[in-house]
Amino acid sequence: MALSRRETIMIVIVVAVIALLAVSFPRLITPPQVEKILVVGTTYDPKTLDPALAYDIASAIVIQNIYDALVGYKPGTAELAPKLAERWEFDESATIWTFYLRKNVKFHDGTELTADIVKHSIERAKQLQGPPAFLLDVIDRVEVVDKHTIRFILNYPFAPFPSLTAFIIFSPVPPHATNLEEKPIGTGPFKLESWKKGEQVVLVANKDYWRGSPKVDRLIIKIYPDPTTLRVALEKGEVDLALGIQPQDVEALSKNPNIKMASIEGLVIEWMGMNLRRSPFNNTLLRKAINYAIDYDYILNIVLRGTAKRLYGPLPPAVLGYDPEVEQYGYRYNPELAKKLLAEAGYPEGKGLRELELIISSAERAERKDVAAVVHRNLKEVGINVRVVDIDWPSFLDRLFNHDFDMYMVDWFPDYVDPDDWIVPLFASYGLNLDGYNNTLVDELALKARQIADPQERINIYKQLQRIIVDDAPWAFLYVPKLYVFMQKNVEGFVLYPVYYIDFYPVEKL
Amino acid sequence: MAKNIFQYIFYRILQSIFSIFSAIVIVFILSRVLPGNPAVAILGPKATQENIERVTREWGLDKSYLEQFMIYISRLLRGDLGDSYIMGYSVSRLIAERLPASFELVIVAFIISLVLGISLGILAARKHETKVDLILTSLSVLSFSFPALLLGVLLLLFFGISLGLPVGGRIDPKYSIRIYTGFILLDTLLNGNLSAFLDAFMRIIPPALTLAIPLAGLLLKLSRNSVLEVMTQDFVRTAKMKKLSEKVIMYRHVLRNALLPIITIAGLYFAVLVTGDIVVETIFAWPGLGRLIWEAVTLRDYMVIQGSVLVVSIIYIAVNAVVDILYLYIDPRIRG
Repeated sequence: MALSRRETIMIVIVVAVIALLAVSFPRLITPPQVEKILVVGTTYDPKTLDPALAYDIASAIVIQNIYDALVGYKPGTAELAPKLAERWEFDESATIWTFYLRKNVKFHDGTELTADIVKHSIERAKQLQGPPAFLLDVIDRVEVVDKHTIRFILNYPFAPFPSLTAFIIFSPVPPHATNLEEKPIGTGPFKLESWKKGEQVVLVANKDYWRGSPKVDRLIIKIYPDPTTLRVALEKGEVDLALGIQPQDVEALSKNPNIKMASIEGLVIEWMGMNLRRSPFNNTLLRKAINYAIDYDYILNIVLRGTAKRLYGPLPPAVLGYDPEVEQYGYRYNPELAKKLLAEAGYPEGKGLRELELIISSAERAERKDVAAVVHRNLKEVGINVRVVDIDWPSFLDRLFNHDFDMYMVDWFPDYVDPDDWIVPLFASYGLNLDGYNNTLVDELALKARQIADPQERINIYKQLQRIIVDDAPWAFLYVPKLYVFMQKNVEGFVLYPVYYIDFYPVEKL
Repeated sequence: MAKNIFQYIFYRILQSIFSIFSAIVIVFILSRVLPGNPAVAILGPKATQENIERVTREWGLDKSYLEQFMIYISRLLRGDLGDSYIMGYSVSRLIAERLPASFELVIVAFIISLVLGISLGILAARKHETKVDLILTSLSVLSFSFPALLLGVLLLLFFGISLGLPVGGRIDPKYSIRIYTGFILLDTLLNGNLSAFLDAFMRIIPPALTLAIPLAGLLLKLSRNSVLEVMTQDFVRTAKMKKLSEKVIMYRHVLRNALLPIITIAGLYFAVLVTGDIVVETIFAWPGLGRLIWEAVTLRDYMVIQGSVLVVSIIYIAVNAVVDILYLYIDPRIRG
């Protein structure tokens, strides 16, 4: 019997489908895996898994679970706790720091952790000069005291040093390891199984972890670039835990009976800076007028729907040295006073004042656009005309660094949790000096505070600094966003930290 | 006549090479004149002056544009697309990892739009000036004027929430699939894992529809008009007078002629889809080339921008050239 061409094709297709079904069938009826898998959804893609090179949150989240830094945090706080270092001590000048390493810690490849390896790792990171390498500039040299003792000799007295060693760049890497960007080998609770860029990172439990094996066998970090999609995946139960939910979704998700929420006051601050190098911002009265003109409660309650707290001064409440009194002497919404100050500044009802430009990048923080709109309206109400310009992130930074702005809005996340990492870079004239703020007393006190070892003495200086800075009003102090993590009801043991430290070690799936 | 064809093809290829070179120049210039640089983009407000200077020097960004361009071209001629500043890998590897995902999505979207667009277009033409025609033509206008972002989110919510189907990503991360081709639909079958295949199949539909619907609308309108036009021509009237059945007239005579212009347009759009899926890839967590370009632009990762746009231009220009040459064979009128 001769088949026509069409018939031959049909037969081939039917046979192929039957064959595939036959091959697939046994897999369909295999019992569900007994392995415990935790699927984490996040909105950002890691860029590198090398702790010496990573300087973005997405990479840090993965690295923190593959590696251990020298120092960690007490659960749920920004207080330091031993990690690879069991304890540490310093000399009177706060220049020589000695760290005592935990014994019997092994890398994923079986290499034992020693002081030599720590020294090599720090030197390697210094040599690689990746984006976070500037954090190591304070270190003059590293000395091995014995197999488990390491000494850092600093270039200058630096009291916040232990908090710096909690940063991922202080994670030891095994010597002779190559291609750590893609094939990380750490001492941490998870090992890398695979990384498909733009798609997912798969980690497996390190059964020989020095704190004991983690509670889940496999950790899949899946990337959802659109937060809406992440939210849908969470509500459908495709992800067990979601990092990077937008503030506008918080309210709805917190009402979802199937979803659990963890939240904590963070350490990120958002502010509106002003260019003190140029008129009219070289006028303190005008800057104060702007501070009084903004309706902070409207921003917090209506725009941000309670997902942030007010920032009254240069420091967020969760950091050492924060002065609660700033909530009394800080600026509150008072449009009448704003108008009065504006007149005193020489611009009654805004007369003689040019249109001011406020640059923002809502690509980096979506709600910024709405906050800027409120600022725009509030300032107009007292007679100040503002033009809001929303540009992409690199363009924004380009203008910021070239001091090509009247006003800007941005946020700041500390590299180490110490008031020093807000005050020096943001307010000292020898810091980043974004605003052109220059107060010699602030410069002196900031330098003094980082060199003193006694915590109480430091706190007193930082309190003094907060008063001076608030009174000079180089910024309009806006808000401190809360951090949120959402998870399924059966996820237990997750602890949220005010710092961006995401630890999957204690997480369990029931 | 044959000589003419070869001449035509030769000129077409020459033209393509010129187009690709122009694309290289334009993308090079555009990425350099954008404000900001990769050092600043990754360090954010914390970038110190020394850091920016060091990175600029290391990556040769302190050289003149002409010098940078000459270095780029000489490496390109050796088949080297350069390395990503931010991610540290070669650009060709990054593209090779992402291209299959985009291609698979575009192929599925293309099939959907062809089937949907042309069949509804014929239907509209046959029901010419009835309510069916009116509804279909209105829908087609609506479909290609609908923003992809909105359509994507609507489809995401419809498939994900209303229908409760899996959405987002190419496959449920719980399946471990061995990759052979990079095309997930094929790979799941090659792994013999049917439930993984079904999962991947359901996940590709919403993003593919988002891409397909505007094109389907365009094809609907085009094929309707084209069929109507052909139906009024003499040879169709002759066929009708010969009392051939309507089916025979439609498929043998009308469609064969009416589909010619549609193939050209569809070919062009295939290339447009490859580039036009940045939004779709973001919404549906699709790890394709569109997102790579987007990420590279937001980080000012020049080499990645240049490399991936170059690859896309080559695809676009090649598809264009192939369509033109094919057309030559299908429609003898052009050869003259």
